[in-house]
Amino acid sequence: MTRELLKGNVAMAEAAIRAGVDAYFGYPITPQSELLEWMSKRMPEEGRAFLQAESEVAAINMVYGAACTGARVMTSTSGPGISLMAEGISYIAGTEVPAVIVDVMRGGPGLGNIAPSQGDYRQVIHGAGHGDFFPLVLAPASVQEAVDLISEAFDLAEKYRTVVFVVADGSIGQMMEPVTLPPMRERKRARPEWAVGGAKGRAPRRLTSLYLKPEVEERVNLRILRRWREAEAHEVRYRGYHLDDAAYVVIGFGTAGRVALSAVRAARSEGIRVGLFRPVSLRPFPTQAIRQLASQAKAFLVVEMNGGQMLEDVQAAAQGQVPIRFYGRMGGMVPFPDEVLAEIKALAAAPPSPADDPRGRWLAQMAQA
Amino acid sequence: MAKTNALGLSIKDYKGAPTTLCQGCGHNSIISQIISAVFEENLPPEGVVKFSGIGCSSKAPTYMLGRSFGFNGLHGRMPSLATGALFGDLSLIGIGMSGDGDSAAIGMGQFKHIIRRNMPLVYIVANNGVYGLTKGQFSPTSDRGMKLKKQGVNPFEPVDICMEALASNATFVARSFAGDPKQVKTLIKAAMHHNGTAVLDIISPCVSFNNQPTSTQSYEWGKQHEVLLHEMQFHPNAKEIQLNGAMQPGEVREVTMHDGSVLVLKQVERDYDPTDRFAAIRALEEAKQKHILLTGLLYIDPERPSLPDLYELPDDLPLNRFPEERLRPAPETIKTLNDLMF
Ligand SMILES: Cc1ncc(C[n+]2csc(CCOP(=O)(O)OP(=O)(O)O)c2C)c(N)n1
Ligand code: SF4
Ligand SMILES: [Mg+2]
Repeated sequence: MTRELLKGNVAMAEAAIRAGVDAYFGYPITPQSELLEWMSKRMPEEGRAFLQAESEVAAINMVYGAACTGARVMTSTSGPGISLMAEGISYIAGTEVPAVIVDVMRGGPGLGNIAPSQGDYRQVIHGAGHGDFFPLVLAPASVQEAVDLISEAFDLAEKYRTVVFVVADGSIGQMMEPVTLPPMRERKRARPEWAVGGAKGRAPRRLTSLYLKPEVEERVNLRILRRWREAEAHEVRYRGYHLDDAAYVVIGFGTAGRVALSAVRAARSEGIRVGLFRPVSLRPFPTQAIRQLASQAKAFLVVEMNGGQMLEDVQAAAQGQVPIRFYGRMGGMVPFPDEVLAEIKALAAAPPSPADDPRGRWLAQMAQA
Repeated sequence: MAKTNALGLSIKDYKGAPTTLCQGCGHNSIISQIISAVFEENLPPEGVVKFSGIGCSSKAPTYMLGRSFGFNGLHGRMPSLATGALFGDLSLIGIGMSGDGDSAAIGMGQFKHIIRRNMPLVYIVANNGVYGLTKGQFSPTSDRGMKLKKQGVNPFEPVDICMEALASNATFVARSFAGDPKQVKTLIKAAMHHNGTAVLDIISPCVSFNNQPTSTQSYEWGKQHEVLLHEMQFHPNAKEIQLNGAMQPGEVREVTMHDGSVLVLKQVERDYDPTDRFAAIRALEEAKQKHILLTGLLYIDPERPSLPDLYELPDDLPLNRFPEERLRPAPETIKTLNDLMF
């Protein structure tokens, strides 16, 4: 198969088209706009629906409407847009219909900036919206991985009748890398058994997120939760590098994980037995795998482009079995491999005590920098 | 010596940081006219408060009135931000700068509701028919048939900002053109004296993404197709009105603003009465049919009560500086209330 040099946003858009997306609705926002622009050109060429909405609120409701008809549908945005979509996402989850949402994260909170960030972690793992539900959240660390995850995202969304987020930080959206795109998939699929589309000859179907009787809503909540447990059992994804003999484990996702890998390799060449664990599914979170590592390693180093949002999940997974050091850059700053290398060396030289507060230690360190 | 105004301030006191907008961007010319208007009206910069949403147009507050306070709000939410902030200090003159995407797409609801409530604000929409800041996507005011390299052809009819304002019962609606700075300045001056929301839809070409001569938001098209509703003079003090040579009585109309200032409108092609809503709607429809850029004051109702009027808010003192004695109900009132309850 041929490899092409593509910008992350464009590659994700084309991957969605190859995965058979029927409809795209979105609103421009940096650093995601090339995805929308590619869709605006390519979707009509393929005879599919593209619409630039008047806002993210409109876009997610268009997604909601299309999803109820059983169409493969997606949107893409960046943090401020996810905030606006929150209500719609909750309705989609409550109605138990599938949708794919790409979040190309930028610096925040507020208007922030357009530099790469991982600040939306907490927001997306809870699906941004209100109520009891979990979306699946996938985090690529390269353009190729973004393509692969987008291709899978639609199947997962349909399998679990839920929202699947693909969270790429701004650098994945903006950078150019050689990628192999999947072949164009056949779009004809049987309409899902829950989708609405005319009830001729059969009993009408009803899609709703409104259950006035609490006992009925509770049953729906339990159904959603059971489906989520299935996803937890089957859809955990992660990548490990140099972990076999690792005394120290660096944990990072997306671009932070990618930067950390360079640092891990450099540390290895200096004789430090260190490996990298990179969560690919942020929900379901690879809790068991991390717990296992925690029982073997001397210490963890968590690296993120935020103030330690995933750190809390790592701490919960590690159950205090292993001391943890944290290193984060915030506000659109991307750590350099050298910075992470220095952190690995510091970790190996003097592992923290299990009683340490990793975020507090890091904050003190940042105050001196 | 630099020229000073009645406050002894020079134009420098009204400037902001150097612009980072593209050279030739219409927004730069609007910003200059805001600066001149506030300077010439002898307003202390501290008496003006700037508002904006998000977009190239919404960066304006940075490049003007450096001594005035400014709020850069969320995309599309400038009107709500301004409503909230102005409640705190009704003594300030609010100048809002927004874009066509900011006001006619994501912020259409907010745009309409500040108008409906008639909150005093100079509401400028710097209208370039495109999303400039996100590098060139269609906006709700893009011409039907407009072509963009990355997005193809726009199939939709454009939103007419002035028509939307009229439909929402705006009390001041004007259209202007960044290529006609004199008119822009006069309208801004009048708008600052209006007791209500003053909507200025200013065609403001984006030289990077929508300035091809076929675009109705380009400089060239605007220059060739601008038709004036009237020539305008603004007189902040009615007593000083002196019709200059070109303006003879009979051909002019005077509109007295709520605060007594006067806008003198000289007939150009035909007599136009800007207090006639029907005429305004007809003028907009005709301009569309004739394919012209019709500029000037389309509609004004100087007397409709503003939001603070309806709420009977005191205008002698900003709410955020109210002394306790005036906030607290009088003892008799408290007594009456207590008697009613217990
Ligand atoms: C919630 C949200 N969505 C999207 C954006 C991205 N965005 C910034 S400015 C803009 C449009 C600007 O267009 P316009 O208002 O016409 O201003 P111009 O740049 O053309 O002056 C968009 C979509 C944002 N900042 N916030
Ligand atoms: S991109 Fe367009 S709107 Fe933005 S500064 Fe440049 S010319 Fe002005
Ligand atoms: Mg614009």
